[in-house]
Amino acid sequence: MRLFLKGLGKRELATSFMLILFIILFILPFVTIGLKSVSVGWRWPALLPSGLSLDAWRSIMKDPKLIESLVTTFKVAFLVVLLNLLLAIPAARALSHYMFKGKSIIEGLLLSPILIPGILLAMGLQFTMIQFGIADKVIGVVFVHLIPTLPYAIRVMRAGYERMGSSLYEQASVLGAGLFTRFFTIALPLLLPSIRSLMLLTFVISLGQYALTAIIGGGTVITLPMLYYPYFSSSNDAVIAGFSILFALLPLLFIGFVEVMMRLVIRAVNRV
Amino acid sequence: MNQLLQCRNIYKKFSNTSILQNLSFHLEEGEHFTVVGPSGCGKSTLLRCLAGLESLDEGDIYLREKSIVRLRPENRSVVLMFQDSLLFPHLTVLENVTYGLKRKKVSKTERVRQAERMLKKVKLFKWKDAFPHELSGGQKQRVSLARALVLKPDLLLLDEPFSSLDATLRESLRGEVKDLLREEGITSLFITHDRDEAIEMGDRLAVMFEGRFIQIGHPYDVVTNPSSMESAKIIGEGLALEEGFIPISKLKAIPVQDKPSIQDFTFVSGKVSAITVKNNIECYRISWELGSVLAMSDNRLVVGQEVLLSAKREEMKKYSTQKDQWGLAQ
Repeated sequence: MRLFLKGLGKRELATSFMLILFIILFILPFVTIGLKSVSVGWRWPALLPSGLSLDAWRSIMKDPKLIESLVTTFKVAFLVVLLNLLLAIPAARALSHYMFKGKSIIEGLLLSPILIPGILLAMGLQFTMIQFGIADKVIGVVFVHLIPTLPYAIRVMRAGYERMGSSLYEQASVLGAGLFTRFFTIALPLLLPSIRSLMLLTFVISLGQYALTAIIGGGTVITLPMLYYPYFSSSNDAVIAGFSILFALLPLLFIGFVEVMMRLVIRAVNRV
Repeated sequence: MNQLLQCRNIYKKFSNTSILQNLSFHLEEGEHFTVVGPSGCGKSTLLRCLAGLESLDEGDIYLREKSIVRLRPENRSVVLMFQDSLLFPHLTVLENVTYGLKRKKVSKTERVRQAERMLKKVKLFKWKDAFPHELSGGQKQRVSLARALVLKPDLLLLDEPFSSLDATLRESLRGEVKDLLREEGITSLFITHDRDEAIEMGDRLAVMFEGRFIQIGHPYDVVTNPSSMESAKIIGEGLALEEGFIPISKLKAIPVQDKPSIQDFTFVSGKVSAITVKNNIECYRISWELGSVLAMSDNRLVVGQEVLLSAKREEMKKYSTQKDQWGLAQ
């Protein structure tokens, strides 16, 4: 081992260390949870499970509300991501490319939901939503999910716009590109890393909302966390592990779908 | 020749600071017009206003006798080429050049044909599938030029397009660009703070100072006969004094111990700060507390040597006060 380490340069050593850290922090927990979901009676200090079984997965799949909650979760998360894109992109562009009076006040207002507990805002919003008739409805849940997601979405997009600068936009406009063409042919491809981060981040934040969904959804809008969290009170670790896997797979599936769609759009608009 | 562009009394302010002040001028069809001026005099703002990237506070701009001030940049037949090449990094060279043609709804075969023709002209055809990061600075600027020229705009605006390149490349590109503009018959407005570039690139030259043109004319006339001290300092090659201008060819640096001849008049005393070669003639940069100037000498001077800058009194050209149709001193 010492000989092996001696043969490595500083750079290789750092890379190996980062790789090991990545495996410990990200891959190993995933493998452990995956194994846990198909294990029987795997308790400390046993190194491996004593047996394997798909009972936990059968139990999850048997839940009559699973499909409904998955559909609702995707519906809510999709709309939250879409609204975040629609609001964060113009807001970030205005904040990064333009100077105007009251800019710092608007910046502060847009980022303030991070500073105030979301649950506090949701309690206040519930009354308004009841008045507007959108409480206990998917659209109400979507709106309330904007509270913890929008400030991050604006931050991510703003960093992207600042990296891109406004010169390429101006160049495109003097070459004859209108507002939407500029966005689809220049901004979209160049902001792809930021858009990807925004989508993943807002999807994951929306997916993890239990309290806000419970307050505004009033128990009638059942998302996956609403179904999943009560299982924590059960002692069946395998079922919880199974749900966790399901939870982790959803953002990956979503981002895979989005990636394919965005590449198709960009290829179509940027052909010679 | 027909007048292509007319700017009438244009004003532009940025937070109470006047950038363009009552600026009026015109451009003839096919003309190459150069604007030279110090940094911050309003050159780039003028181009941005013409391209539609900035709005005017007052005044009007006419292109082919139609006002364009209310038109968006994408609807003006005016293309601006910036200091940086600003190629779209995610597109290939060919895709960059066809970008504007696609916006004009030119068919695919036609836009590829036109773009390839232009790439051949700028000698970059074999790089058509390369991405901008694979090109050198000079190649990027040539692609940028091809992308602008392929659109055949009524007016091409060039905002110091060679300023980021090294001196040798800059000189060779100047010639190439001027030839291309003539071949394509495109009217251009070129701005720079480099006097040599200004003289070479323009059929007519305007000297800009504090948001207005202080002199417009043929490059030779402007350089040899500045109309004011400001103009002389910006573009004149020689000694700019309050009462007049002495061209470099008439200016002599004489060591202090040698007395100037009876006809010569001493204007400034200074020190040799550098020795250089201009047009194969040894020249000396003479510096004093208020400035510096290039001068020739009959003697071999050394750096640090104290000298007198002399010329015959009658060689001094008085600044002209005659006004042209735009109210500029000629």
